[in-house]
Amino acid sequence: MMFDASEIRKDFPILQRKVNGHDIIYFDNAATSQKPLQVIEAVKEFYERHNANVHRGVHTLSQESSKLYEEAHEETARLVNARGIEEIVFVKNTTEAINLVAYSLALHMLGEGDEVITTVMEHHSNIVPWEMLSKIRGFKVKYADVKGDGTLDFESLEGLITERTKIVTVTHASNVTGVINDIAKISKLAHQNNAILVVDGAQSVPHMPVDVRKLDIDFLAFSGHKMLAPTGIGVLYGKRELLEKMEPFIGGGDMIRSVKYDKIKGCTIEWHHLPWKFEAGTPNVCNAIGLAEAIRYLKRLGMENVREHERQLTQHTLKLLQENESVEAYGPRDVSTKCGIVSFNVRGLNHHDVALIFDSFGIMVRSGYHCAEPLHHRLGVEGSVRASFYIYNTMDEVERFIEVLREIRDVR
Amino acid sequence: MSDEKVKEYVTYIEETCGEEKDVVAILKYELKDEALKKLLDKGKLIKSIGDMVYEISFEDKVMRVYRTGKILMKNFKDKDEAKKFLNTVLNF
Repeated sequence: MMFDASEIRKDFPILQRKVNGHDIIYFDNAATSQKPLQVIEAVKEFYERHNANVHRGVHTLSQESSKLYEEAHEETARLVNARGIEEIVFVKNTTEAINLVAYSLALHMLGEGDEVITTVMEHHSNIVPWEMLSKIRGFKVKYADVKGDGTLDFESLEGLITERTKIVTVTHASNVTGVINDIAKISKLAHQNNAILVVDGAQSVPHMPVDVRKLDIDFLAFSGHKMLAPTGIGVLYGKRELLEKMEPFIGGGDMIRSVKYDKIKGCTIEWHHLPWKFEAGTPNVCNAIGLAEAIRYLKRLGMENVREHERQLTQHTLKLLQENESVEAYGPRDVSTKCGIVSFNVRGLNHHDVALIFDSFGIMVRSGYHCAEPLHHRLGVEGSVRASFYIYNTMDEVERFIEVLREIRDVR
Repeated sequence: MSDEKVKEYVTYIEETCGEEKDVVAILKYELKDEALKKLLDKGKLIKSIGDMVYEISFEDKVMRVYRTGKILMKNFKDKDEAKKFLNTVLNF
């Protein structure tokens, strides 16, 4: 059964704020989501009752903290249908998760003659790490194209794959056009060619059911802060057999089983078992617990319902936008292939001006490249305004947004 | 020249993202009207839209000042150049 967004709003204190004399309308969810009281309370309770460093502590607080931290891994594993916590590595955010794969995998396994394939629709975080490493290791990064409506040109991707392709790394959903890529199809293509599939799930995991086994994803990266959790906690899912083969990205405490020093042999280090091998140093325990609470909140709503709610908001927005001749929207019109992101420009107005006018009315939207400069260039635009939805947004807010947009058209 | 006036009137300033390298400055809420008056006195009003936005030119530079206290500064090389310019025009 669908949920009532107006009821959900009561859990989000920030949505009671007024900005510039108006009720706040928060349409910048692709950048970060707001946090419900349940998550805020979980973080508060951790610091008030359980705070201690995790692992290898014998005292009560340390054991409580470790248990909560490991339960957060379990909750996350269940969300994406991983086989267990050994496949869930906590990191800072999606960017760090992709860097972890790049540095742990590509730095050791790729070299001259090898190729990594990505697409022009990627966020910079799925371009820059591969380009940085290609300079060190000498492999080549190739870019699959998009069609005029921003959807992936699958033939372009198919045409780039060769026996030299070692990694295919794509976004699940574009943070500009909202385009949802057919990951199952891309996965099949990558695996038929013995390539590893890395998926940027920053804009998909918070908004729809994602099953890593069903989609046969090798690595999936996503951020907690875009799915009701605090900032500073992110996730890398990785297939166990791949994570086991990989070298750690960061070395330090907690990620080792033993460090032995011998005057003759020197230092011998044995890695800890998964997932701790990739979690060096004191982790972000508190925000991991916040993430677990955020996941429980989303699961109570049901991820299918979250997707359906955003689908309806997006469909309504696109329908109303089409009636406005001065608006040019990017991405497909078919909401079955699109998540809750609508990017556009108002003809004759700079995108930052549009966002500033919206701000005058208490409406928070983002403007610029949204860290996806190649896609903007491909679409032939110098930036865009982006409205992105989440569970607490309502049809009334969409109506108000469109009403202000009409006023913006009149002020040109 | 010191950035005394920027410190007095501006709470935050940053470069925007996009093809054009613009800068957004946020005026201190309690001083935004006073700052807007200074900018209008110093520059030339190109147009105003309702009581919401004022487009003001200063020779080759253009600013759009919002009633909310936000300023979109066009065609500045970077934040430092924008700061320096704001310091001059607010020192009036």
